Parts: sequence; C-alpha cells; structure tokens
Amino acid sequence: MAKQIVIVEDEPAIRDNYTEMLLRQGYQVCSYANRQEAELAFNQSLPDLVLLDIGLDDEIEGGFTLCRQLRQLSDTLPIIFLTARDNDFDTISGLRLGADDYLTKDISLPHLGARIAALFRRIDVMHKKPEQEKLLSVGSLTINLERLEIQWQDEIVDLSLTEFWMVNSLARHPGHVKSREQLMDDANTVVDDCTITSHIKRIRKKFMHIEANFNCIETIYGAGYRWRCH
Amino acid sequence: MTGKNNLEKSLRNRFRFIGLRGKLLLVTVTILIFPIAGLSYLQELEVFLKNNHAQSVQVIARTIASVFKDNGTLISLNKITQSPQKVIYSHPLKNTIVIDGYNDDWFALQNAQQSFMTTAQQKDNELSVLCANDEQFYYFSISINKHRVQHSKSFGVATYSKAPLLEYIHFQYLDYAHQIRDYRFKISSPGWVKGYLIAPLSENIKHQIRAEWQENSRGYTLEFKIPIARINRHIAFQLKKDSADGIKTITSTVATDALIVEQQLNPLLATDPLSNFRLQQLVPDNTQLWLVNKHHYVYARTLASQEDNRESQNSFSLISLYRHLYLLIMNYPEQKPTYGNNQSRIENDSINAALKGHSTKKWLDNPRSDQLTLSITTPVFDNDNTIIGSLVLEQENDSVLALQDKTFERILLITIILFLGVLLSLLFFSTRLLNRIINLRNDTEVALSQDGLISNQLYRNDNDEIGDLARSFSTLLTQVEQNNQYLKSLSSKLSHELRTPLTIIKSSLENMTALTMSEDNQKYSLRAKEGCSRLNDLLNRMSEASRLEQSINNMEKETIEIVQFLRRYVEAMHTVHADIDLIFEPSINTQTIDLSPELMAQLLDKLLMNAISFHTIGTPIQLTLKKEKHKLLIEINNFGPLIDESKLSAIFNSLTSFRQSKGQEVHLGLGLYVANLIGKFHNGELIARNNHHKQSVSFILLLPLEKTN
Repeated sequence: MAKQIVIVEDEPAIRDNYTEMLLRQGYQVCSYANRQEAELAFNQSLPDLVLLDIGLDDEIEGGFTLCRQLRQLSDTLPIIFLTARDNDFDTISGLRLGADDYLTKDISLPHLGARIAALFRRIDVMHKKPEQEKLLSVGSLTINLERLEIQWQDEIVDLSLTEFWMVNSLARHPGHVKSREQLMDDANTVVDDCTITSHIKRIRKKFMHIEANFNCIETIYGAGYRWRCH
Repeated sequence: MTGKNNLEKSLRNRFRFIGLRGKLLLVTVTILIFPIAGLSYLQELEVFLKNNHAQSVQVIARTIASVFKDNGTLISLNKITQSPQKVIYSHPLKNTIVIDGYNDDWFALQNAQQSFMTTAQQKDNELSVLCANDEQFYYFSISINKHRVQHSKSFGVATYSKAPLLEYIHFQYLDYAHQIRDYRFKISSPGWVKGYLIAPLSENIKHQIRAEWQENSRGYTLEFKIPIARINRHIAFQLKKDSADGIKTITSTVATDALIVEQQLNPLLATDPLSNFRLQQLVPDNTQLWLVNKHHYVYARTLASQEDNRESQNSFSLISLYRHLYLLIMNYPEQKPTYGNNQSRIENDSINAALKGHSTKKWLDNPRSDQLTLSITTPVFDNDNTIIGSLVLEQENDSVLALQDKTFERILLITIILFLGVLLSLLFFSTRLLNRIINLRNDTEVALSQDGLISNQLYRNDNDEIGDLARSFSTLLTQVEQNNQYLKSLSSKLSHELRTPLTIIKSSLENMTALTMSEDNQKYSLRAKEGCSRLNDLLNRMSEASRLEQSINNMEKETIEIVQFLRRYVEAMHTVHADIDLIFEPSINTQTIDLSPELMAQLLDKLLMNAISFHTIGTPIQLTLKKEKHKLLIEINNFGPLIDESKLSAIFNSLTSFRQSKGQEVHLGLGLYVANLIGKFHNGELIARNNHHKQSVSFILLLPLEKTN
C-alpha cells in the first residue's frame, strides 16, 4: 500500500509541484492550503508523513501550531518542516516541537525525495525484526545504515536524519577533511555554512551526552571537518 | 584641497576665539553705562549745588567787604604803601620773643627777612630786617651779614675790635608828634648795647633803647623792642662805618645821608587781626579772610591756627585712592591754596581782578585735607566807589560736598554690586546655556557612530528652543535610524521574499526534468537551473549578515591558542587554495585568547577571500600576527590596487562594494561587513589601510588582550 503524505503549503504552485513530484514517486498525496483545512483532515485520519510550511497564509507560525497538535495525536508520525525561513532560531524551534527534519525550500526535489524515502525506511526498519544489518564500525562508532542509527560505545545516539548523514559522511573516511559543501551534499540538504556549524555543534553535544570528553569531530578552520580516530 | 580645508578650519577656530560666553560678557560691559550716567548726573548736581553755594558765599563776601567800605585805615594804608620806600612788614607774633640777640625765637619768620644792600658794587655788607609785633611791642631783629669775614691771622678768632673802624647802627622812627627820632647803637662788643637818642637832642636821657648784640658766623645780630604806641608807622635803619676811606652807609631807605625827612622813612605795616572788626556774626565757619590793600599788602586777616595742625595725607590708602578717583571723575584740578600764613603781600590773578572791580570765585583742591576750598575775592570800595582794596574769603567746604561724597560712594557701591550681580547671573546663565549646547553638540557627535549605529540620547525635556532643537535632532535621528534599520533588513527581507518564487521556478524545473524532454528543452532547463542556483547563492549571501547578526550573540567564546589556530587555518587554506601563496608570519610564539573559533575562521575567510580577489596574481598574501601593548594584531596584506582613501572606513558598511571589475561572482559588499561584525563581537577593531610605498592593502584586526595575560 502506498504511503500517504500530507503537504500543508499555502503557495499553490509549490504545493502542486511537490504533490506532483511525490505522486510520481508513488506516494499518495493530499495537500492543504491552510491550517484549518489540514486540522480537519488530521482529525479524521493521520497520514504516514507530513510536510509542513511554517507560515500559512496570515498565520506566521501556523506550521508550528499544527506540528504541536500533530504531536499530541501521534508521537511517531514523521514531520518535516519545509520553509523559506532559514534562520537558526526557527530550526531549533521546529526541532524542539518534535519535527523529524527541518528543510529549507532551497532543497532540490531529488534531495527531498531521498529524505522522505530515508525517513520511511527508518520507520519501516524500526517495525522489522532485526535481521542481518549493514553495520559499519569505526572505533567506538557503529553506523547502522539500514536503521539510519548510530551507536557510540554501544549506546544509540539520538540523531536527526541530517545529523545521521553528516556523521556517516565524516566517519566513513576517518582523517579526511570534509568540506561544508560535501557534508551538505551527503546530507541531501542545502544550507549555509552557519547552519552546518550549528549542526556539527549539536552533533558534538549529543555525543558528549554519552561520553563527556568526546572529541572525534575536529574542526579544520577554513576547510571543514574531519573524523579523528583514536 | 585638504590644505585649503585645514586653513578654513583654523581661520574659523581663530574667529571662534570669542565664544558665546565671551560675547555675553562683552555685552555685560554695557552695564557700565549705569555708573557713567549716575556720575554725570552727580556731576551736574554738584555743579549746580556748587554754584548755588558759591553764590551765597559770594553774597557773604560782599557783605563783609561792605563792612570795610571806606575804611579809614585801609585808605591811609594805601597812602602809606604808595610811597617809593620799601615797606617794612611787621608780622603778627605767635610766640613770645626774648631779647637776647639770638635768632631762635624768630625761626617761624626766618623766610620773611627783608634785606637791604648798599649798592650793586658793594656787596660786602648786607642789612636784613625782621619785624614782628604783639599787642604791646614791635620787635626788631637786624642782621648784618659780612660777606668778607675778617680773620685774625695770629689767633684765628674773628674780631671786629681789631678792625680800625667804627660801626654804628641808626634806627629812626616817626612818632605821633610827627618828629623823627634817631637812635644810634654803637657796635663794640657782644652783649648789652644802648641806643642813644641823638636827634632831636632836646629829649631826655631816659629815651634810650636797650638792645642785645650777638655775633654769629656770618656777621652779627641786633635785637630790640619798642612799644607800639611810640611808632607812627614809619621807621628806617642805617649802618654806618667810619673807616680811613671815609664814612660808608647802608640804609633801608633811599636816602644816603644822615638827614632824613619823614617821606624818606620806610613805612611800617602791621597786620590787624580781623577779630577787632567784630565780624563773627558774618563770617561762616571754616572760613578765613584776608583784607588786601590796593597795593597787594595784607592789611588784615583772620588767624588760622587750625591750618597748622592739619597733617598732609600723602600716604597711600584706599581712601586717598578713592578721593583721587573722585576728583578725577568730578574733574577737579589739583591746586594748592593761594595764601600762606606769613605772606605780607599777595599778588595773583584773583586779586588783580578784584582790584579792577571783578569778583571771582574758585574751587581749589586742598591736598592737605579731604576738603575743597572755595576761594572768593571781591573788591572793597570807598564812598566814591573807587577800589581801595580786596577781600579774600576762603571756605573749607565739607557740608555740601560731603553729601555728594556719600552719594558718589553710594552710586559707586550700587553700581559695583549691580555690575557684579548682573555679571554673575549672566555668567551663570551663559555657562548653563553653553553647557547645554555643548552637551547637545557632544551628543550629536556621538549619536551616529561611524558604522551607522545610532544611540539616541538627544531627547531633552527642556521647554525652550534648545529643547526644541534637541527634539528635532532626535526626530531626525529616529528617522535616520528607521531608514538604516530598513536598509539593514532589506537584504534579508528581500532574500526571504524572493525565495518563494525561486522555489516555484526550481521545483517546476525539477519536475520538468522528470518528464521526457527534447534535447533542446533539456539544454534550456539546465541553463534555467544554473540561473536558479546562482540566484540561490545570492540570496544566501544576502541573508548571511542578518542571520549572523541574529545568532552572533549566542556564540560561545573559547580560550584558544591563537598561533596554533592560525597555523592550522593557513594549512587548511593551502589545501583549499593551492594556487595562492599564503605566508604566515607570527612574531610571537604563543598567545592564548578568548574568542569564537568558528567566527574567527569566518572572519579570516572573508578577509582572505577579499585579499585573494584583489591580489596581483603571482604575489604572496601575508598573514602576520603581532602583539602590541594590550592588543593582538592580525594583519592580512595583499599586493594589488589600493583602496580610495575616502572609502577606507566606508568599506565595512553593509551593501558597500567598490569593486571595479565585474567578476563572475556577484559581490554585495557584505563580506567585509560580516567580518566587521565578527570583529565587533570580539571587542576588536577592523581597519583597512593602504601601504603606498609597497602598493599593498592591509586589513588589520585589533583584538584586546586581557591585562593579566
């Protein structure tokens, strides 16, 4: 059965373009132009994934409101913010509200498709029984490419999809410097340098949550980042 | 151009030497009109009062003069003094005289000696006469001065007994029987001398005059007295010498032989004290009178005893200064009083005028006292209205003038207080006003910082023009600030607004790619995508600054080792820009500093990108690190075109780019703005500088070091 995706976007052209792209990829797509319509639909049934614009018509933070309501309805429903806003503050707010990803509208449609597919795969894997999984170990780090999960010292690090891909990109070739552009590409995203920096910071913090003196991600100022193995 | 500007500036500064305060103080000087007006009023008042007073005193003087109208004594005196003979003047005595031959008693009169000589050729002897009188006696002191003193060669003692000649002094007077009495004193030895009556011989032997004869260094003195009642106003003295050559005579009269008639005697003139005339009722206080006869001889005068008691006030004091100021302002000539005590004859313009029939009045400053003297002369007539003499009245004035002195003092005091008061209040006012203006000016100067940030401290609550001005400025600045704010947010707003249509185009293009397209369509769609991506880049950079501004304050600083940090940065850069010759020259080995490494790297990126895009290909780009006092100095230097001097500070402003050549990349002029923002975040300062001699441009970042380091 095809996955059902809901797009809440007030700009008809974008909405239609996204809808058509997703339809082409074989998803079932419903689109709504404002919060009220979307709310009505969500109250009847929940889709498998929601793409949310933050500003909806006159409601500047309509998307945030919707996200909050959706989280009340379901803890596991994947929610992706898709917005023209690109500042750090909005990113943090969106992720704090329980969104799974936060993408700017710069993202190309193939990137978006890849992300959606990855999210679905992650959910699918969670429901499956553990089989033989593709695992990659780099020192204390274990990357589960099936589940899109990363373990540090056998503890799961709670990373978002973007963060997972970044760590994956770095750790695959330890010692190699990855420029910001490369990281962006590997994470299927287009963001500016600052956002990469804050992503990296967040990743470090999450690792430090497990090991206080984690220092495997090294900043090469002016060039990028590299994974350092001990 | 700049030289001309400097000149204008210095000129303006010179003319501003007198500030607002100086101008106000200059205006204050106009207050000086008050005392000038007051003084001129005072002057007029004084002239008026003085004239009035002088007129009333003149009336008194005329009244007194009328008392002497046709005064017999005066008329007879005029007749006497008319004679060609010298008048011998008898001074009124103030002390008693002891007949002893010494001059001590005569000290007060020593300058009043009347001298007689023989002839012009024979100056070897001189006869001097001093005459004084009290109420009973005439006193005479006759001095013979010998210019050729004869010394005794053997003993060295001057004696006259050795001289082979005889000397006699003759004294003649007219008695009331109109007979001339002739007494002869034989000069023989010091001490007692008897004057024998030699004519008329019929008289009794008791008519002798007892005299004292004393020698002195210049000659000798003969002193004697005679009751007033015996002399009828005429006397004469003669010195006769009998020598081998014959008889020599020195005489006080014009006659040269022994036989003298009445007309040839010297008139003896004695001053009458005016108290005899019972003028007390008429004469005002502080007044002295002189009655002068037709021939300027003082006939009578009031005895002014108090005048001698006055001490001259020559010592410098505030009062004398004040008095000098007063006299100066009131236009008084400093004049000494005309009439002395011992004068026997007065001759001056006023008396000359009075003797011609004109009354005069004069105000004199008496330097020996604080008072002014009013001097009035008025003629004295006889019954036929011919002038027989002149009356001089001098009044020491204090009553009227004292009042004016006090008025003057009061005006002076009030003016000074007024002047100081106004001066102080103006000073206070001007200082306050000036301070407010200066404050406003200072605030205006700092209100708009170089990078366009506005601190609006101009608002004033004052309800006056300066307050209005401040409020106008404040409004203006608010508008400028809003404008600035708008400009700043413009790029991020614009990028945000452009993003949606861009997304539409991009997603449409991507959808189009999914469809099967002809080769041509694919080519065009590819080009469209390229354009989109460039537009996207542009939008990203446009919003970079505002995103940085928003997030910069959340950035955390770490303590890092700056030399190591830079070294690693340069290494990384070598791998990224392999074609660029980037040289790192630290002049210190180690230095820790608190900063955000990400931001610092971003700053260096911006400066380096700038340097790379402007450097002359083939030349190195230098990164130097220096330590100066409490500052860390990071400099990026590239050889290449210089920056226009006028744009050196503006180069860090948002949306300011002075690139001439159009490269492939679009430059919004945000790179250096971002770099500057980061520099500010670290309390640092970013400076652009041209090195003219090396044809290179430096961007210098000054970072403060903590003093403990």
